[in-house]
Amino acid sequence: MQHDLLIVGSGLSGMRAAIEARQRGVECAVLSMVYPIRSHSVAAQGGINAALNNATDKSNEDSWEQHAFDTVKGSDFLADQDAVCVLTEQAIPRVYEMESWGTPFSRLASGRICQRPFGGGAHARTCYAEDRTGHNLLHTLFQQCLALDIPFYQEWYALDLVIEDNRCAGLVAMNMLDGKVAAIGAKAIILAAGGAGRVFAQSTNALINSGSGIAMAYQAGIPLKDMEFIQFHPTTLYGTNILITEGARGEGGYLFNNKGERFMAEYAASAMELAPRDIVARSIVTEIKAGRGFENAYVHLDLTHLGAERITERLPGIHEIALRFAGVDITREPMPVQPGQHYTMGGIDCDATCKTDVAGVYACGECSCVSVHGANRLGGNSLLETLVFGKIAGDSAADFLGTGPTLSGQALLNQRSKDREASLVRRFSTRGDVTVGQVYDDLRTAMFQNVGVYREAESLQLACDHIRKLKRQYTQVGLTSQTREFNLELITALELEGMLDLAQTIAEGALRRQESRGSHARNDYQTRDDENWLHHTLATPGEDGPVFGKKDVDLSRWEPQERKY
Amino acid sequence: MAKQVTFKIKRYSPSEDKSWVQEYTIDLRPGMTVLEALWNIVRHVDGSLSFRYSCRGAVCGSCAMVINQAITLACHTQVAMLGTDVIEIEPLPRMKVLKDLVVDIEAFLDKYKSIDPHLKNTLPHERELLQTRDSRAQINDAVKCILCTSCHAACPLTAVDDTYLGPAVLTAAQRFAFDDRNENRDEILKKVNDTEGALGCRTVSRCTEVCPKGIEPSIRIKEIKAQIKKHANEGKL
Repeated sequence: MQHDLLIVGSGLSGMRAAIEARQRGVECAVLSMVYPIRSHSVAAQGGINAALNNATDKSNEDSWEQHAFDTVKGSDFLADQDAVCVLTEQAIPRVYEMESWGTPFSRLASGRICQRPFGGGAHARTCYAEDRTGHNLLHTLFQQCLALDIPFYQEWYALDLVIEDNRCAGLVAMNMLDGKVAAIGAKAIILAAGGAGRVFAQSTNALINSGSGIAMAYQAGIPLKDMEFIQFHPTTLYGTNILITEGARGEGGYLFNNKGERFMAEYAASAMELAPRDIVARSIVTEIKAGRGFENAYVHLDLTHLGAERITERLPGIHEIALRFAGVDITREPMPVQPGQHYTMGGIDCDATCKTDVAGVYACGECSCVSVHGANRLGGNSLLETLVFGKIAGDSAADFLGTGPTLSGQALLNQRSKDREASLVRRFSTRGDVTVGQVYDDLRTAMFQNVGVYREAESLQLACDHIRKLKRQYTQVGLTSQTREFNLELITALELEGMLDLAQTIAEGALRRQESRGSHARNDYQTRDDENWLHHTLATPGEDGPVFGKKDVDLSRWEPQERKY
Repeated sequence: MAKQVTFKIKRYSPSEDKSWVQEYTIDLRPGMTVLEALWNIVRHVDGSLSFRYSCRGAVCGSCAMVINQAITLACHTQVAMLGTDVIEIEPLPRMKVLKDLVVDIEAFLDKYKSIDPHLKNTLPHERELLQTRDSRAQINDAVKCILCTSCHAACPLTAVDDTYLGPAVLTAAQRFAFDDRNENRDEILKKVNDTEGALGCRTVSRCTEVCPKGIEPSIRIKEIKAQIKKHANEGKL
């Protein structure tokens, strides 16, 4: 098996990259552990940002520059400003393109795409399709991929990215159905494998979001950037932590504590419920810790004043989710919400052309870190990132393949495939007392408790020590099953190995960064420290855990300023 | 002590070509869904049990299966709400089983592809194509489809006729035949203008009973039939 271009991940960024490459005449295939329509992009609700000016008037016009500034300010000035300008300028053609490919957006009376306000944005610029924007975009790209006859390796799990002489050689992957390991040669690979939300308990993420693509790049020696920046979404449904879109607040929803107060007035008097996510999440945690939550665990998100008609028209998915998963009819009563892990701002280090340090290896989407989100991502910018940088990754790979590289490193690739097979055999014969599930649950709980919304040296050190202990335990984990066929215990064990590595980069990175910036809020260093910490964190695998370095932030457009809302 | 529930799961091993029913008894946690219970079994009891999963929020369409004789999504079914201490789980009916609860959806996807389900638009896309709210409303239901194959498996016609496209694929046909931005509207109608397509539907409406998204595929198929008739009268078909 071999391809000129292999794309790992079939969410929005992977499929957008595939379409671009195919349109440029590149031979390519997409490999994913799920069917494309099952990818986590499907769960995005509220919308995608682009300064279309459909919902603004002449006196109050939006622009891609304003969108860029809002994004940079939202990032607490850690985003690369040149890359952010690419993101927001390209937002406009990418959204029109999706519409022309068939995405059913909600419509204004004028027939144009609906836009709603989102947190941290100066204008109503979040384009939406009710509260199913991700679903509508993902199915559109799947349909376009079918029309272009793009081949998919469906239910294949990527195991090893193989690199020789700093050049892409290919991928070792496992067909989940029969459990067989295969080597797939590739001149170029685009990693588009999603975020690492499942490293934390109480995550909104799909169960497949273990960060396996990020871990695979790290294990191959590619640096990870800014892993300590984890977004906690303020409003996830109490009990299941299913996402309750920011659109619920964008449409006018209020947050109440147990005293019936709209407590956001205390924390962001002017933006209120539409302050950026890091600020709203911290405010909720503060209220709950001060005894002003319900059952010591959640606050109320109230939409009842919007009226049943508006709720069922604009937020039908949320209405269904609250009813189905919490037994709450949001047209009549408030819903219980609490912050939960939501997004991985960090990821595989790449530049604004999606290039990594390895020739022929590219990254885009949530698994990458360009960085356009810095220390805190604005809602509506992640769907946008997948499309803008998915296209760019496809273009960059096509440019690279246009220079005529040959397939290389195939002997090494085949050797790595054999090594991997041997390691799977060993894994099946390990007779340990600890189950995969025990270490998996233990890690996720420890991460949420100690590397959560608020952090401090003591708890972070606890987490770092605990992860090291779990890594030792992991070597003794045995499997209860012996079959190779569609073995979910084996998949969990493989994911867990990567999750432990990623947890280490997150927790140790968080311990190192002695400041508070965006989503990274330290109780023991409560202010932003531009003098010492206005730089990206890089983590590469060393003998004994990650080795840290730094990288400059592009500040070519705006001077850092205090972040107030 | 936590309340316990017993799962009786129909299993299948492809390498041994053997099927059997296996029982697992686990502790019930408040709010536990069937999908969580299945994961609980894999992570702590028997790692060899297979099923599909992803979003756990009823939007990705992975985990359709038969739970106590009803076709539904495992992720949005709460164990306690089933009202039984013994819960029977089987793979979707009438689809080839690959392993335990994992069924082959390739034949289904081939049918989906066969109607060429994509929007064709040759106009330059410098701005969006305008679409009225009324026009968008015509496809509001169909675009909610998550391709979970519940209706496809439930339809008595797909069971006896391999060539019948089935309710989910016809729902996709409705979506593209009624989207006024699509230049391929008539071609889509032509593709389903026979008994393998919309004319094959006998309106048994099992699809509408099982759809987890409330799409009512049988109504969508009726809309296609009406449109076909209208086009035929206008001499377009």
